[in-house]
Amino acid sequence: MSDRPQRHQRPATSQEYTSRMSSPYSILSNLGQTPSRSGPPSGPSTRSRAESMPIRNKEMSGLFTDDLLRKISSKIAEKPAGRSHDTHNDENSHLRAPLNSRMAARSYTDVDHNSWLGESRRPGMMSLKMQENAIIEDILFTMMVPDSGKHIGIEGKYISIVQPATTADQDAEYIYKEFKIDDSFDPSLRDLVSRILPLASTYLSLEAFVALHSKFEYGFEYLILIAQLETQFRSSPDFTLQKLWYYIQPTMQTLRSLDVLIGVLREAGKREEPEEDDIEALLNPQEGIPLECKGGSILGYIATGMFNMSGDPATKKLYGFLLNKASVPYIAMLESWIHKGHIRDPYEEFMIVRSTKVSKENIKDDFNNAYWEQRYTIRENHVPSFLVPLKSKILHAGKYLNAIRECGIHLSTSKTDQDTSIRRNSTYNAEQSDVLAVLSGGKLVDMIESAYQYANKRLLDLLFNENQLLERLRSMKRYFFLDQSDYFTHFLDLAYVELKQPLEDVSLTKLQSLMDLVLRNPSTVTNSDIYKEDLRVGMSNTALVDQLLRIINVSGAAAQEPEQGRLFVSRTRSRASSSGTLHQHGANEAWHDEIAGNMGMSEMIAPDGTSKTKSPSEYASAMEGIMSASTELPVQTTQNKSLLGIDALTLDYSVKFPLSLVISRKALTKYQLIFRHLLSLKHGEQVLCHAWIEHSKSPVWKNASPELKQWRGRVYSLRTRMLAFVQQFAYYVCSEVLEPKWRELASKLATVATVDQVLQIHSDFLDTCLNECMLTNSKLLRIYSKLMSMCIKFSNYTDRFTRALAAMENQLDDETAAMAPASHVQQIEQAMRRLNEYEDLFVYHLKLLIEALNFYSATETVQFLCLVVRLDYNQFYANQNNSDAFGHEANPQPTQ
Amino acid sequence: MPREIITIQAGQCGNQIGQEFWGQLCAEHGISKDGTLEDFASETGDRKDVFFYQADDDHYIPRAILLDLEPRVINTITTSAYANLYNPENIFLSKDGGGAGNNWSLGYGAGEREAEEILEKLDREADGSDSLEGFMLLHSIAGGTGSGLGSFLLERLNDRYPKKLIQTYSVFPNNEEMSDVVVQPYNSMLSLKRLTQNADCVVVLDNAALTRIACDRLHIPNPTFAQSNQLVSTVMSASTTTLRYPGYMNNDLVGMIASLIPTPKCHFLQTSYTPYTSGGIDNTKSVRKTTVLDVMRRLLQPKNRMVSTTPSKKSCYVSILNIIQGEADPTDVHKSLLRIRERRLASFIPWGPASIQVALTKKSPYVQTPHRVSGLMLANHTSIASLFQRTCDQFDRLRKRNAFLEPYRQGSLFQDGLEEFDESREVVQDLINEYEACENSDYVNYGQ
Repeated sequence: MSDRPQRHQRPATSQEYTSRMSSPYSILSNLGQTPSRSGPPSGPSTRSRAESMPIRNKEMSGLFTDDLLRKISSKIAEKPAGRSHDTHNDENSHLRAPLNSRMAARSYTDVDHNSWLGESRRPGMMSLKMQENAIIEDILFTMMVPDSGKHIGIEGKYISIVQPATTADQDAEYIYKEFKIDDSFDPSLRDLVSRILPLASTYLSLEAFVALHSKFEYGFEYLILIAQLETQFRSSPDFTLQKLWYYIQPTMQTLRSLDVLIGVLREAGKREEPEEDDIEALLNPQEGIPLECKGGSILGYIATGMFNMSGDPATKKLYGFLLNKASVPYIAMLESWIHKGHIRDPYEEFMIVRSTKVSKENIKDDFNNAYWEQRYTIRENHVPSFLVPLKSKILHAGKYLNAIRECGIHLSTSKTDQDTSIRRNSTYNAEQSDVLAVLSGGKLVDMIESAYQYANKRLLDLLFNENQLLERLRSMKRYFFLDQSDYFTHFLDLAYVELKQPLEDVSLTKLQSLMDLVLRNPSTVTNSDIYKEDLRVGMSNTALVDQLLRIINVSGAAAQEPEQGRLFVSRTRSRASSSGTLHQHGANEAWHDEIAGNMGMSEMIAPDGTSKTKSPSEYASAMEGIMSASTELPVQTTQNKSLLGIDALTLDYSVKFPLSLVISRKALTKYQLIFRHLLSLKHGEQVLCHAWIEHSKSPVWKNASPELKQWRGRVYSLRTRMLAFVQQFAYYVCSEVLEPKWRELASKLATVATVDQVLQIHSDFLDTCLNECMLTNSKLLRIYSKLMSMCIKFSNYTDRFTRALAAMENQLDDETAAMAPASHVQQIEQAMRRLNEYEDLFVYHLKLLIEALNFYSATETVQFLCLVVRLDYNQFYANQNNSDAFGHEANPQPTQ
Repeated sequence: MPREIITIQAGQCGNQIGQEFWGQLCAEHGISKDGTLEDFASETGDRKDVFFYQADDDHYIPRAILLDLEPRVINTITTSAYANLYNPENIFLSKDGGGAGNNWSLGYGAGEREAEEILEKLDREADGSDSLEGFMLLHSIAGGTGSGLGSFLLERLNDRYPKKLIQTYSVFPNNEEMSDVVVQPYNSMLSLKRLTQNADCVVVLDNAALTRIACDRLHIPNPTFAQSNQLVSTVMSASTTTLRYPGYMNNDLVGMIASLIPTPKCHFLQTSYTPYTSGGIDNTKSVRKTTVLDVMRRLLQPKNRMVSTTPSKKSCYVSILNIIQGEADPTDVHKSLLRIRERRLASFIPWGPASIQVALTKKSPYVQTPHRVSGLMLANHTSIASLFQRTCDQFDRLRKRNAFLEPYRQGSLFQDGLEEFDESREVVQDLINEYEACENSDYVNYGQ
């Protein structure tokens, strides 16, 4: 910029200039200039007006000028044909068009004026008419444009530029250049001129801006802006100053608004610059493009400007025009995105950005739905303000289409293209007829809306019809919710021996082959399920209750609500206020956070005073935090040392890509939790039924010795209570939670309209199930696990006892021992003590559970009351008075 | 496949009921009368293998053993359309064909004599199943074959398959009016002893109640045995729906009866069914609106109960299992449970938790019924003791006079005297006492 010419000292002939111009456009310019050179330059003026234009470039590096010219002109050539030039068909003519046309228009006056001007040096001495003519000439000249690159004003004979004293900084070029008028003119003329002059100044700064930014990286918008400027400018030829003033008014206003706009853009650009630490920007600050000042945001500024100016029809129209032109490439990008799911955005101007880190391959193991949530995100600062209300629709439309493409399905291009082309036509028509319609919403909104609907329909179609989402869910329900549990009963029968073993000794392959055997059995219901291949048997490292407690604690920490009993649902809702993408992510934290960050939360899990269930080991296990099922920490708690196969058994289910959006790892984990909960109930029922068979069929119990007879009624009774508890709980889970909720889910899914609704409904469904199954409340869970483990222990205990008794009977038969009855009695007494313990603990905990359920039904879900009704239908526990609970069942108070 | 159940039908009554039962099952599963699957039976979701197995040509064979000492009923079956359904090897007919002549002792003796052949059939069937869950015996306790041979089988089954469940559907005689079989109190008493000691679950079906239901509910003035047998088969098929149409719960027999029978001795169940719509009996007055609550409420009404009992004031339910078939809304169940509790429609034992379990199951897609919902109640109610008491009273009247005892002396059990009668009487008295004790809150200490 150092060669910025301040003043053209040496006149040059147009021939010189033309010959220097190697580009073909020189011919055109020649042609255009021919009439203007009819009057040869003469007189005292240092230079001819006609020549002055090309001269300005003379001192530039020729190479630079040529390059720039070519670059720009080729750029212009690419522009959509929508723009038309009224006076010149030549697309490039705008480069010189204002000059040419003006020259042509004025040529007939030139001779006169020149002669006039030549005679008088002092304008003030001229007649008023001559003064006016002279000043018009000068003004027009001043308003002539540097045709490219260099952006300095041209000084007229009577009007000179007042150079602001600034540094050679690039920004200095933007600075508004003041013009000064020779003060020897008639005051009235001077006054008028001074009002016109800002136009020139404005135009200059616009030029400067345009020149600087007419680089490739700035996209098409600026070139279009240039064209617009030129066109506007062209329409301002005049003769008299008054007329000029009159005619110039709209243009002036236009240019002024443009200047304001550019000022805004520049401001925006500048604001961002200091923050920019892009290496390229540092190396080459001239080319470092402020991030803020690109693509979508520019459109945003234009639109804002338009909105602010909406009171001024002319300006509004101008802005509309600018916006319309400037948004063409952006709209093209938008269309490509919403119609095809493509991002064609080499300069990162678009509002959607794709993260390359997330791929669909790891979606299976990914716990956080990262694929869906993070693969495509919105660049907030690149959303044009007028698209803000639609941004999520735009994001989703493309995302859905993208998902469809990801599963290898070619979007039926014919249809899409057709749609697009139809829409495109309408868009262009709209541009011509009703420019503003695009911006003010109508067409664009329609287009986005219909694309969104289409994408939704396609993906829903893909999910529900081609990938049979409902059938999938039904099959998941069968396997995880055991809605036709015959297969599982059989599996437990077959795998009984294997599952009795400690976790380490369980052979997963064996279990898997047993499971396959069961599923393929032609007589089971599962045999007809085409998805049975996707079911896998797995082993968890953590007992269900421990795992759940960790989830509860961590999610509690994440939600930062110190009181117990948080629902997944409520948590999710509480986050709904945060922005869309963060919404799900926030809920995920609870599931995924390392416990390390939440160590401080240990006090919140302290059970309130009534609970006896706390133990250090439980605290320890609670502190371990939950990981996703696949990355569970090795178990360290004392409780889990003896984890049996049956306690660790879980199922896994593999889902292919488009469905894994819905049945994600997170959803699957919830399914697994519910399954393991059901499994524990089934297992409890099974062992108690086994005990029942022993009690009713074993000769030891049937033909009981008198000692045994005394208390076998109590054994039966306790077993009955336990079985009633387990079965009623299972009934509750199945027929009052899972089945109704599933029906609800199915009916909701039948009427669903968008894919994100599907995801939301499904995840709400799982959360509600978890909550109502009592799996999200640490206190209830602890009591429940105590009760369940008591049931199992008691069954094992009576089982051992039965065997011991049987062995003793045999001994009695064999031996004539006098000792035997004594040991028998002893053993029975011991058994009696154990029985008392079991009875007390069980009744105590069951009452505790009922109390807690009553309590939490107020805060968590009223569904718990159903469970209360079931657990104590004949009010047996309710009628027992409290002291009785701690006393012995041996002498129960008679109740009504 | 898993949890198979082998059905043993003994005697005239047992085989007639059985015939109805298999006809019903075939209709519900879309199996034709010769065992082949009907073309329309393409729907899945049912489990045929609990009661059927497939032959080499894929036709379905019932896991049934047909026993009788006289050929009349079985001949009817083998000449009927169902002739090819059964495995001919599983049909046992006494060689002499003379029958038991309404004599328990003869039936029992025939069992002893033919034990080998009968047990061989049982073993073969049991070996043919993967994990046999148990046996289901269909018989009446008043006649000779069903009661005598049935009693013998109960004893043997217990020894041979000590861990397998034995459930019986036992038809009790109509002891409200005099029967043509004068010795039926004897037969009943001797059978009751075995039912008490050797069966795990007895579904009591009372001919008196069956006749009453046929008259009152179905408006058949003089119901035939065929019609009351159809009632029985309806009950049987309904009570096995959860096994045949698997749902969330109650997919095995033990899970069902374990909760119904808290203490081993009190294992006599009563049934109710509503509304009656089984195929042949279409005299039902009108189609009513059926909701879960309606069905559950009606099930608790004594007039729908298939046992005639005279409940005392203290009588109460030990446990209830309702099997609701059809399009029932699971959320209705809770409302119905609450309503029943509010209205105190059922009183329960005071010594432990008891409730109405409700299992919702599918209806067979092949059998059309005019009702949306139908229900079966299996209930353990202490009033059953009154039925036993009546039997005891009738028995005592005969026994006091030592009437009609002579034919029994021929049997091996009575060669050394008639103590067996008194022993049986004692067992039944114990049973009655236990049921009465069951009504008290200190029942858990019973036997001390």
